[in-house]
Amino acid sequence: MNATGQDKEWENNVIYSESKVPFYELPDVMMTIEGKRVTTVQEWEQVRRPQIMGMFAGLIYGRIPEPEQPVMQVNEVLSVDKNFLDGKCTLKHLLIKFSNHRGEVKMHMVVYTPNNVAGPVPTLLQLSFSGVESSGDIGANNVQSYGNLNSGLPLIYFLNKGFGVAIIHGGEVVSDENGFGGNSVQRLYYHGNQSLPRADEWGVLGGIAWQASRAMDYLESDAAIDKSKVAILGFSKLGKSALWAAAQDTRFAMAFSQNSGCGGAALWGRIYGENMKYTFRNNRWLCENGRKFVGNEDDLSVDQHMLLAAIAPRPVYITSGIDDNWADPMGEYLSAHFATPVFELYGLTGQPSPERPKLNEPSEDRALSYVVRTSGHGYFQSDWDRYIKCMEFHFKKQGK
Amino acid sequence: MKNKIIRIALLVMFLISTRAYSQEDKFAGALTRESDVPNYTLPDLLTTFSGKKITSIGQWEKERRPEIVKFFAENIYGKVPVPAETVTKSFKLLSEDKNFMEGLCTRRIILVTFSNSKKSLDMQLVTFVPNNASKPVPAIYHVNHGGVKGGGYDLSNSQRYGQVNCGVPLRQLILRGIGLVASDIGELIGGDNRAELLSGGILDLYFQPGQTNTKDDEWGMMAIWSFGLSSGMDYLETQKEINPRQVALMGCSVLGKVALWAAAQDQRFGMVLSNTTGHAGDAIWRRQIGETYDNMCEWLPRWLVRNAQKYKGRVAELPVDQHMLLACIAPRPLFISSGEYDYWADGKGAWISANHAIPVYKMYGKNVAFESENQPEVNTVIMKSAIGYNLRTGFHGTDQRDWENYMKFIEYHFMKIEPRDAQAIYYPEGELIDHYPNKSGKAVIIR
Repeated sequence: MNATGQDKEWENNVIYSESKVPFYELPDVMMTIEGKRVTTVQEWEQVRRPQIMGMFAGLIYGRIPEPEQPVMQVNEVLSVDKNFLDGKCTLKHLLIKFSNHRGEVKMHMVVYTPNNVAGPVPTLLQLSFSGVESSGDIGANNVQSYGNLNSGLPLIYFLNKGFGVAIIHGGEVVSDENGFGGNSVQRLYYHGNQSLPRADEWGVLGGIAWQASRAMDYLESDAAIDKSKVAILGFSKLGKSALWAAAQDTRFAMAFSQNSGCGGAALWGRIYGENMKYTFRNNRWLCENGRKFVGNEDDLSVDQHMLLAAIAPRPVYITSGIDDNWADPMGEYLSAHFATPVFELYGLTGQPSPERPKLNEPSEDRALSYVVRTSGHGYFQSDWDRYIKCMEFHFKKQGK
Repeated sequence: MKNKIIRIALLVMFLISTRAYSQEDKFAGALTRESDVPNYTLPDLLTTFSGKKITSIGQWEKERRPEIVKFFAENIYGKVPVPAETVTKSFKLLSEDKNFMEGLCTRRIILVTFSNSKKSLDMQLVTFVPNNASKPVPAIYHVNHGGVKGGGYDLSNSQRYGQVNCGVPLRQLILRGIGLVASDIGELIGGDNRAELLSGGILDLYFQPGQTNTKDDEWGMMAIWSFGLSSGMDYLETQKEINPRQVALMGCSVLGKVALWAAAQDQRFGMVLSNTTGHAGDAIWRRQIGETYDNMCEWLPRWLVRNAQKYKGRVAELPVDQHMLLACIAPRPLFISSGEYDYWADGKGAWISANHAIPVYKMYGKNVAFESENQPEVNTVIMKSAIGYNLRTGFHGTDQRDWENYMKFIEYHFMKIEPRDAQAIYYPEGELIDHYPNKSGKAVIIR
C-alpha cells in the first residue's frame, strides 16, 4: 500500500521490536482527575467516563462543534430491490444529504436485510473503504464469490444467521483530509471566517465517526432493523473511527475493531509502529491539540485503553494480526487488558491476564473479546466468522 | 466538429460496456444447486480405454497412467512437441541476498534462458532457503505469472510483516524450515494476451519451419505454463539446498489447474496444493456446476489445446474426467482447498473427484483418511491423509488458513513431524520471537 521508499523510512525510524519499547506509564483508567479511585458503576458513569470522553474530545479526536445554523438531513431512497441475491434479502440504496447555509454534503448508504426473518434484525454497520456510491459497488452476485460484497464483507454469511448489514463509505463526508473542502462535513460547522477546525475540533476520524452516527440515525428509522442491536465495524483507519463512534454514541450496541492500531485499539505510550508522529505526518486525522504530544507521549493524560473502557458495558471485539507491525498488535492487546477493570466493574469479563491469548485462539463470548490471528493487515474470512459468532453470542443471548 | 467529439465518446462507451457484458455473459446461467446436476457416469479409472481391468501398480504405471496422461495432453491441455532444433535451457544467478528478512533466509534470483538458433527467451525464478537448515529443505513452488520480475516476491510492507507482496507468508514458511520457489511462467507466452490463439513466446522456439499456429494437439496456455514449472524443476535439480523430491506445487484458480497438470506429467514434483482450482483442475466436468467444459471452450479457448473443441457439447463422451488427473498425482500427497460459496469452481465436484482418485492411492498402499463419501462439514480439515481436504467458509481465492494447512501438510508428509499450529512457530520457547532477532533487552511494562 505504500511505496517502498516510504516503508524503508518506517523500518529505520519506527519501533517494531518489543525490546525497543520504551518505559511508559499509562494513565489510570479508574483514577479521577480529582485523584479519587472509582469503585462503583455510578462513579464511573457520572464522573470518570465523562472526564475521559472530554479528554478524547479535547486532545485526541476533537469535539463536534455546534453549527451556526442547524444541519438538515434528508434521506433519499435511490433504489429498493426486494429480491436481492436470489430473494435472500432486501437491498435499500440511500443517498443522505446534509445541508445548511454553508453548503451541502452527501453520503451514500446501502442496507441489506434478510427476507423470511420475522421481526427486526440485529445489524452490522460496516465502515468501508470501497464506495457504496454506485449500483455497481453494491452487488453480490458473483458466481466465484457468491454473496460477497465489494467492501469485502461476506453478506451471505450474515444473511444465513438472520443478520442485516449496512455499509457506508467511511470518509465519504471527509473528502479532503487536510483542508476539509469539497464534500467535507467539517465546513458546514464553521463559524464566521473560520477556515479549518479549531485546535479542539474534529479531524478526519471525528468526521467519520459523525458519519457513522448519521447512518445510525437512519437505521433507527428503518423498521426492518433492531435498533438496539446494531454493531459497528471498521478496519484500519476506519477501525479507529468505529471505536470513537461507539464510545461517543451509545446507540451502537457493540464495536468491532479490525487492525485499528494507533489511534484505535493500540496504546500511544508504546510508540510502537505507527505512532503519534506518523499519525500527524500528512494530514489531520486527529485534532490539532494532539500534535503537541508528538514525541511527548508521556505527557498524555489519556490513552487508548480508556477508549475501550468508555464503550463498556457494550461488547467490544479487537482483532489483531500477528504480522501487522504498523498497528502494534501487542499494544492492541495491552489496551484491552488495561481496559478490563471497567468491564469488571459492570460484572463482565474482559482480558484480565497480562499474557496475550495464544495465536488464533479467539474468545467471542466475553464482553471485551480479543484475538491475535496469523497474518497481517486486512480482512480474512475467519475474521468475519468470528464477528458473526460474537453477534450470535451477545445478541441472541439477550433474547428477542 | 462538435458532432465528431460526441461520436468518439459514444464509441468508447460502447466498447467499455461490451467488455463488461462479456464477463457477465461468461458467468450467466451457471448452475449452482445440487439439484441441477445431471445424471452422469464417470469413466472408470481402473479400466483402460480398450476395456482392460487394471489390478496392479505395474499395470497402472505401464498402461493406464500413460494413456490417461497422453489423452489429457493431446485433448485437454496440449502436449509439448519436439522442436525442429533442440531447445537448450541455461541457468544464471542474477542476484543473491544471504541476509534476506533479517538473515532468516537466502534469496536467489535465477535467470532461466531457453534458446535455439531461432531466438532466446528468459524466465526469472526466485528461491528462498532458510539459513539455518542442516539438510536440503522441502519447498513450496508457488505458481505465479510474473511476480518475480514484478516485485511480488519482495518484502516491503510492515503491515504484513514477513509476507512477500503477492501474499505468501514467507517468514512463517522459513521459520518452519520450508523454502519457497516461484518463477515467471507468464514470460513464456507472447502475443496478444486476449487473442483466441496463442502465439510468440516459447512457441517460436518450438514451431517447425513455416509453422505459425499451434497444431491441434499441442500447447494450450496451461501446457506452456506447466512447461515453465518443469523447467523450474530442471533448475532445482541442479542445486543442493532445496530437496528437489520435496517440492510442493501450489496454485490458486487457473494457476492451480496448471499445478495439477504439471505434477501429473512431471513426477519429479512431490506434492500438489490445489487451491480453488475448479474445472480443468480438481472438479468433475460432468457435474456441470459452475464453469463447464463448453463454457471454457467458448470463453477461454486459448487455455486448452485446440483439440479440446472436439468435445464441446459432448462432455459425456469424454473418456476422461478430472478424478483421473488427480489419480495421476498418486502416490504423491495432494491437498484440496475449496471455498463454500465458490460455485464457479464447484467444491463438491472437487470432493467427488478426490474420492474417485482414491483407488489408485490405495493401490500404492497410501491412506486416504476420508471417513465417508459424504463431503465433510465446512471448516473441517483432513490433514493426516495422502489426500488432504478442506472446504472452508469463504470464496474463490487463497485464504491465510489455506497457507497454514499447506505448511502443516508439508510438515506431516515431508518432514515427518506432528503438524504444528502457528503458535508453536511464533512462540518457539513460550515467548514471542522478536522481529529483530539480533536485538536483546526487554521492555518493562508498568501500569
